[in-house]
Amino acid sequence: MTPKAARIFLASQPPIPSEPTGQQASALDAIRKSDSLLAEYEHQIQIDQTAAAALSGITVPPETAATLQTLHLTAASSRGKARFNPLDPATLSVTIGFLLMVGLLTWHFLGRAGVFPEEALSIAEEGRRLRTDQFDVVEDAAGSLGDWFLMKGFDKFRIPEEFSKFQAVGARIFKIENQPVAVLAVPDNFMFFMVFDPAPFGISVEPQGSWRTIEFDNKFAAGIREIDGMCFMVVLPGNKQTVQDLISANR
Amino acid sequence: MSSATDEWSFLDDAWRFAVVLTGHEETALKLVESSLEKLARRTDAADPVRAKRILFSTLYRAHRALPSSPAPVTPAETAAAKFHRLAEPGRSAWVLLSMGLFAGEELAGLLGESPADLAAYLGDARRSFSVEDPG
Repeated sequence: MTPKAARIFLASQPPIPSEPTGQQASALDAIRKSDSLLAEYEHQIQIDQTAAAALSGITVPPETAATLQTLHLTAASSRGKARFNPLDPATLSVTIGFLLMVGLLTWHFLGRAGVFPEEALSIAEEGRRLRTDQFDVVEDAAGSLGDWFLMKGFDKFRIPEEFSKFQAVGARIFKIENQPVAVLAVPDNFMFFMVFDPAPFGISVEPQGSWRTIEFDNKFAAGIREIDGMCFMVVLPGNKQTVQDLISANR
Repeated sequence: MSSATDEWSFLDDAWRFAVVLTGHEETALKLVESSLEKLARRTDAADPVRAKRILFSTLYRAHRALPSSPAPVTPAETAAAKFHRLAEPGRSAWVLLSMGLFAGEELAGLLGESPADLAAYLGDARRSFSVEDPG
């Protein structure tokens, strides 16, 4: 230890006892190499002893000692109790963290619930490219074509009641990702109706019966909802308002 | 006279330290009371050694907000007056050291000073005391 380091160390030590510890002994050895530092340290001991004697004159009056005892007991009893303090930094941090998590999850799930499924958008884009000559000719109401699709091997053709009255002029089944999608060509509004099983596509439109709408390719719009475990989607030229008006008009 | 349990015998020293800080017995008692209340609200002060460190640290930081003290009246205030006039943080450092409560790195940590700065402040306090009370 250098004399300077020893001086810094000893400055914040009480008078060293007759049997110093390792660091104290090292500091004392170092400081003895400098007469001035040693003299300064000896003066420190002297003045520290004077201070200690003066501080012992600050005696605790009996009534103050009794009050301190009471304060101690009061504090000790309250210390034992686990108290909920909402402003405690730890509690506050946990609360804020919890609320953020709840908010994030709510935002995630509500946001997801309100969004048009991306996989369904792919089906809509694919379906609206079909040409009329690619359809089998049918002349029946959309709601009456369940048997026609059953004959083609598609046994879960479901269509909302309010859309069943539209007259279809073409029908076919096309496949996306090897999954069948039933499509009807409806002359009214130049619409396509599409019905498919949402499960293989990982599509979910919750809650059941609610509609999700979207615009795509700048001039088309689609609306989708679930019905009896199947997805019904309507695709037509226009925008979100067009499809929303169609849904409202046929409720 | 120490009336608290042995592990909490530093309470009397806390009051004596508070008298030095405030220069006034009653104010010192209030300061100790408010510091004990703060201590009781903490969940990390069950260990008496830690509680002692937190209590003296709280006293040191809380006294700065108190008004200046009147002239000393009681024997304790009179005994504390020559220390009360010293400048901080040397005053607190030297009093805590001289009362045998804290030393070295623990004292530096409690006051938030480096060991070198603490040594300098202690030197200042000792010099100021010597000038006022040459012997």
